[in-house]
Amino acid sequence: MVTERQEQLSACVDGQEHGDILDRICAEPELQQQWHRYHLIGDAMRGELPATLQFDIADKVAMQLEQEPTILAPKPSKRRFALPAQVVSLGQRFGQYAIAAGVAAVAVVGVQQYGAEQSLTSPIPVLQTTPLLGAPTPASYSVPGMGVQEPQRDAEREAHEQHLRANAFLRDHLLQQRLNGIVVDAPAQSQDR
Amino acid sequence: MLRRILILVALTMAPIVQAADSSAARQWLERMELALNHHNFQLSLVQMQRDQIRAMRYHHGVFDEAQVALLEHLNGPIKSAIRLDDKVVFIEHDVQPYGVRSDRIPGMLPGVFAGGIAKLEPHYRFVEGGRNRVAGRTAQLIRIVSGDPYRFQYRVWLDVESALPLRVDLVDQENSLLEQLLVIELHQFEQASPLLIELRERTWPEVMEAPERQLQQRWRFGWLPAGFEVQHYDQHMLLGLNEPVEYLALSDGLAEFSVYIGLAGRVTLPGNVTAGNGLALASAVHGEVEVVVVGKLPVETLANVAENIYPAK
Repeated sequence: MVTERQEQLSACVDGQEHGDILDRICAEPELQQQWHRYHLIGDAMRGELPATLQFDIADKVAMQLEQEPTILAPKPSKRRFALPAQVVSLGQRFGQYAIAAGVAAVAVVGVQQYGAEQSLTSPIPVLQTTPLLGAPTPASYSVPGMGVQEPQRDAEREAHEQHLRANAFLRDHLLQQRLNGIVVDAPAQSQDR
Repeated sequence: MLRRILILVALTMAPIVQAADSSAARQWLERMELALNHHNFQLSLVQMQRDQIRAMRYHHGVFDEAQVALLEHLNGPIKSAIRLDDKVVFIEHDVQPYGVRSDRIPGMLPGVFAGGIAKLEPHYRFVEGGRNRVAGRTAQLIRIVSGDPYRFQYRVWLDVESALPLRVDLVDQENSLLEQLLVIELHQFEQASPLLIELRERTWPEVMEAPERQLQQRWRFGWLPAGFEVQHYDQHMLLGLNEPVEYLALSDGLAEFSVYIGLAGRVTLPGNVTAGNGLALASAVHGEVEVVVVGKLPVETLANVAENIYPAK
């Protein structure tokens, strides 16, 4: 049943079939995501792959997030409330501030271990050593006209780095919450019981 | 004519009825505050998120004025937290135990449930709901509802007898459930349990104190939902990435979020990411600076904060 629908979906993306499938896609979040993926696959084959692949960051972030492993899904950005953003020429003003180089590292046993564990398993160091503009490739790969492979790999790597970054912030947030502790004004026991 | 008078009476009465309702709801929550601090009890509970269920047991005991609490995860690798008054020690698989200054054990109930409920009132309303049966006991529903669309709401079912929470739902603006804490069994005792007595007598690692530094906060918020205030400000290296960031923690007493300000990385983050349990991330790039906001709040709220932040004058 599921595969049948996927086939329909695939055909629909390729423009071979129409009908009520669009309605059904809208009704089912799972299909919606599939739809999104099929579209990306189609785009890639036509050489229209966007610069970043955002769709599966979500799942990956979730898998890595140790404390709160949950399925992450980029939410359709429908703003339920809109606020006028204040217009300030931010670029210039921010430029005057350099982030202090010698910021305090929080010296914490748990954190250090956390960090060490991370660097062992995470591919960050590998990624950082690769040149910015794509990994070195055999000369034969760079024959003009054969190049679907390259942008695809770049996009993949970028998606991977995006997910590492997003993940780092989510985990740091959870860690900071823990380290900073909870402050409570404990109520006095007066009329209790 | 009579009907008109009745309507008039009903209209004038309405605010009074509502006020009574709200103060009754607040009294329920205040009873909960007291119970969480002064009762000896044990809760077996499950915490449910979209894709996972955690089984936990929570013990709480009182010795004279001192409190001892233990939260243990029942499945998977060892994961426990022990609280001795305002010190929490985490005992986790593969990590050396460490202590943190904290008045409550994080990860189960919002801290404000155990004190400071009244301070939420400008930004949240307390609404008394119906009764239901939870964990085999009669429970009273109290909703903690935000007056604006910028935060989530809580639904709390309190044991009618003890006022201890038996079920806590975190619900988004569309009323979908993000997270649920469900008590399966509640035991109450006259005295603290032998387990807690033993825990109290053991020696635990010292609390880690972050070096106190006087830092001038360099940022100003162009927009914040009412009630949110900066609780903490520091600069640290981002976990895992080792990038320096300026860090601000904000809270309205119930909801909290983190703001990170750093140099934009060569990879831009997705504009926003949302987890099934309501945890979300929003980011904005201003020139060479990247602002990332993380918290259990509607992602639109986080995005608005990220987009409206300025250097302090």
